[in-house]
Amino acid sequence: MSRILLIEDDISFRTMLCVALRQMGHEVIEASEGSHGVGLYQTGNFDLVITDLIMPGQEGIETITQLIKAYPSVKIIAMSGGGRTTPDSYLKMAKRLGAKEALTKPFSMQELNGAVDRVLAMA
Amino acid sequence: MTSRLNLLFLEDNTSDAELVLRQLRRGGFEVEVALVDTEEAFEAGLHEGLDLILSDYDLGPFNGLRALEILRQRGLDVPFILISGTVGEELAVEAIKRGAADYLMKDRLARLASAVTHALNQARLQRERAQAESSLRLFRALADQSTDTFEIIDPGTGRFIDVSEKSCTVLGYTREEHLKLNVFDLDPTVAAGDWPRIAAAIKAKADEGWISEGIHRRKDGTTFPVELNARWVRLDRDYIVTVARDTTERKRVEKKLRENERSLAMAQAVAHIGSWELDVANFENPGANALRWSDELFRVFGYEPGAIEVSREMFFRHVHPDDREKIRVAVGEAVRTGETYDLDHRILFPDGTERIIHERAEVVHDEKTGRPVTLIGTAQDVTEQRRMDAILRQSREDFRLLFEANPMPMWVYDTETLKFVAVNEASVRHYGYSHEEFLGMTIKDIRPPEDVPVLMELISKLGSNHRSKPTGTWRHRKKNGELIFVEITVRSFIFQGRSAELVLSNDITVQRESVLALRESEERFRQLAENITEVFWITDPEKTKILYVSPAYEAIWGRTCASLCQNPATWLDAIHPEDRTRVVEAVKDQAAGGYHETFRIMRPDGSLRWVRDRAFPIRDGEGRVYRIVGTTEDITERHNLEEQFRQAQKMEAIGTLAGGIAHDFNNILGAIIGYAELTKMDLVGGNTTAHQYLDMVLQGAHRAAALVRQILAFSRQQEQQRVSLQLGQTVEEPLKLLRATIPALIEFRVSLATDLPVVQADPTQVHQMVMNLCMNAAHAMKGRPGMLGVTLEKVLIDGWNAELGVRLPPGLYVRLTVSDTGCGMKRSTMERIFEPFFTTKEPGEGTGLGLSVVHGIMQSHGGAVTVESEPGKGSAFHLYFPAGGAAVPENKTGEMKRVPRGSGARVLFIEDEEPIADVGESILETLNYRTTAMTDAVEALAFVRANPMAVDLVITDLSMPRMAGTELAAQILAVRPDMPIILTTGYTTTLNTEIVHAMGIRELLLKPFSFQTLGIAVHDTLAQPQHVFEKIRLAALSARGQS
Repeated sequence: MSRILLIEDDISFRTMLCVALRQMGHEVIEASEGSHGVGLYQTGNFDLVITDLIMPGQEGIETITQLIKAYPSVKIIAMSGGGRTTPDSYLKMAKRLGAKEALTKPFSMQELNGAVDRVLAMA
Repeated sequence: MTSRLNLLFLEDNTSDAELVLRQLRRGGFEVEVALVDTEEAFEAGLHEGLDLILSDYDLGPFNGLRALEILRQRGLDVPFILISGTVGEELAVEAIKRGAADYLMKDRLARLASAVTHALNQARLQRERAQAESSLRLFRALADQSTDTFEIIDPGTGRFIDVSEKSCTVLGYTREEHLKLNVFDLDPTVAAGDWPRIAAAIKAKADEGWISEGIHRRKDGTTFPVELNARWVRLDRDYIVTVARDTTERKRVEKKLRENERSLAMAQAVAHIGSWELDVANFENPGANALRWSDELFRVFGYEPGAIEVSREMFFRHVHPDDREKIRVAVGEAVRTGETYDLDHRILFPDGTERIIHERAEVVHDEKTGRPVTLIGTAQDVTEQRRMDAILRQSREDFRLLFEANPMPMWVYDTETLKFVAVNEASVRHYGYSHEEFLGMTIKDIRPPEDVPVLMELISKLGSNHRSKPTGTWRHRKKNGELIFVEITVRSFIFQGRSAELVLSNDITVQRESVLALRESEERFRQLAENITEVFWITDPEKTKILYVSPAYEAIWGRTCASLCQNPATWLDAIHPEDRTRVVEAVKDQAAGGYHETFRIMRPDGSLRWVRDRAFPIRDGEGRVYRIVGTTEDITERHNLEEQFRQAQKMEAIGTLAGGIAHDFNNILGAIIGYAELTKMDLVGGNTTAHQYLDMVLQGAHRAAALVRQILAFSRQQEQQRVSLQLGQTVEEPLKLLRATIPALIEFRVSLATDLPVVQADPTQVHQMVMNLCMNAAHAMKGRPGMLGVTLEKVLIDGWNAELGVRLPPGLYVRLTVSDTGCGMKRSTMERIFEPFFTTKEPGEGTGLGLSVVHGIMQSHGGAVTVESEPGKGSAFHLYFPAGGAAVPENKTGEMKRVPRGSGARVLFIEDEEPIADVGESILETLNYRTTAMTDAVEALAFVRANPMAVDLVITDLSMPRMAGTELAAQILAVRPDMPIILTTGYTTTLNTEIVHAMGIRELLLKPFSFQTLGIAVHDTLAQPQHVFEKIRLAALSARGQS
């Protein structure tokens, strides 16, 4: 069982992810935007951060940058379903900034599960 | 009854005198008396008016007899009565003897009155008798001397009582014989019985006289006409006195005269010449009517014949005051010298009009004395003649002036000698020869020598055919050698008795030049109008006539210019029905200006064209619009581009919208999909129908997600998706498609090398470019047999390759060539083909964007496109793709291995966007570069300046808030000229590799850069020796200098 910080502004999607991740056996702490997430991350002992990129308040890229700067070993999965063009560009950037995986919304439970497992398996 | 008595009384005794006078008064006389008593006084008192002289006898030293003697001596016929108291009988007898009328004694004065009366009567009788006797003597003398015959006839019998000597001679009778004849014996026209009637008629005209004509018969029986002038005379008895004048000669003369006069009058009337005679002797005599006029002369002076009494005064009155002296002098001179004179003078008609009279006069001299007697003259009204003369003179003068003062050069030349015989002033002025010089020249001399043969040939032809004149345009040479072009007009005529030509020369040199200039200008206009792609047109203001339309009309409208000119209405017919009404309304304002319309036209092939039509009214000197000119431009392509742009803007909007909603949409879909899957998991081994339904939900959600992706993909059309690829496969794909669409006439020759290096390219764009170039190639062959070649090969470029006509950084390239055997291109076309919107295709066949897109794509690929072409031989397009990048599609693990790693070089990375700076820094650190990332250009510059040698490479962003990347580069190069610098930018519009090379910047790197591109760029830049880059920089500088 791992402790996961989930940063996602869309309440229905976040709730759905919480249910799915908990069903997968993980403990999930929710944040609705980046700075809230970074604040929570400092307080708890998280194994994984799953963050959306486009959010009101502090968005995902910045959040990832801050987290990696502060905690170089942080494991992050970025996810996005929008953007100026396609989710890919942001997701690529996120990966370059240090996110371990990127998920294009909408994704299947299987994809989610695979990504989480792979990242958690990383050293 | 009293009688007046003018009395001279010689008496020295006043009382006696008083007595006598009283006695006379008593006797009934009213006496006016001059009383004298001396001889002197008596003599002084004598005069013819005296009625009576009374004289005393004894008067001292003087006496009555003496007085009587004085009276007789004076020849005065005044009765003289002597009154004396002393004289006796003898004295009385003596006095009577000496002529006294009577003798009275003073003491017997009672007899005085009767004595005076008697004396007075006696004196009167005496006087009458003397008079009668004198008259009779005179009459006889007159009668006998006269050429006329005098006869005295007895009124009762008609017998001649007395006849004059002349009468006898004329009739041939002696006086005795004559006196035996009667009137009717002499005049055969008078019968004896007629006489009493004739006598009565003569008596009836006793006072004024009876005049008649008759015949007298001579003794020999011959007769002659006479004019009879008879008078009834009562003396002691009644007589008839006749004067008969032989009128034979007069009648003859009269008859002749009448004939002459008739002819003369007729002649005068016809010629309107009057004649006159002036009696010279009486010329100076104002009273004498010395002037005689013919009937016609009256008419000449404006009168009916005889309507005015002719006199010298009358004549002068009718002469114009200014001319009177002239006539007096002429007449005087003629009379004095006997010479004829001839003059014009003016007269005034009764109505005041002025006429001109020509007078000619001759003096007739007395044959014997040789003295001038008569002046005979003619006078003719020459007013009209003189007026005509004046007009003629004026007209001649006018014509002379027309020639002489004509502003156009004119001359007359002799057709035989070709010599100038007259030249006017204008010729002298214009040609520069003097009059004298001209008259010494021939018409050949004013021509350039080379024109003379033509002239002579023409003139030789004139001989037979005078209708053909050397008119037309000729070259003439002025004295100063200047050649002029003249238009010649010629007229044949006889000049001074010789056949001549009158020539009028009109210098049209300037005109001709302006005509040539106009022609040149028209030619320029034509060249311009016919070579511009816009239609240039000219119409009348009513738009009923097309005066000109340039050939571009045919290209744009797809109709011939001729068809438009023939039927201008086709212009309107071609307008799209939806635009027509608007255009028709706007056209009405063309003459007012401000017509500027954009509308659609329909070509005969059914295609539509967008045109922009503009018109400008052209005004004449008075401001009236007399033409409308305009241009019509085919803006179809522009219009389509605008459409495309609007489309693009729409796309942009859709893209923005899609980007905005995709995020939320995907969240929603994610929730749906997630919950659906979670639900499915919960239903494991349960309700299969629920499973099916959930699959349906998931299927719908995935379709929705696909749709979002599709919209996003659509909105990022322009974005390059460069991947590492082998071009062979990418090029082959569109060729398969093309083979199906390009005519079989065209042979495909494809040669794709297999050992090609990998390039970084967007396959879609490569696909698009191949299609585009091949379609162009096929089009260039226009359906004729030909060869379309597609070649892929690798080429090594070592610096700027002049042979290939391409500027590219040295290195390995993959070259894609598309060639054809079509029409080829001119140099001018080749220079322009990569310009946006340039096209050689027919409107509607291409956008003119294809090659510019190819150019743009190749530039953004860091490559280039070149063209080789020759008209008629075909064209070849070469696309150069820089070789480089991974040989296999990128993947996360491979990436790290393939990018060359650094060896600890110190890199300064400047990027104002912190995340990107972080990314860059992390990439570079990963690749083993000691990296310093900075977000502020000014700080970065300070950092370099502090220790220039502490940095091996600078990577800087272009757009930064405080200092642009190019400026930063320049500042750094100023500090350290060999500093390798890479410029990064998100935009490629203003800069290209060449420009940055010229600035001394090694590399231009497009953002977003990948791990790979950044890694390669840094590695290659550090590996490039300074001197190699210096060459590239200089080449770039010179290339930029050239362009």
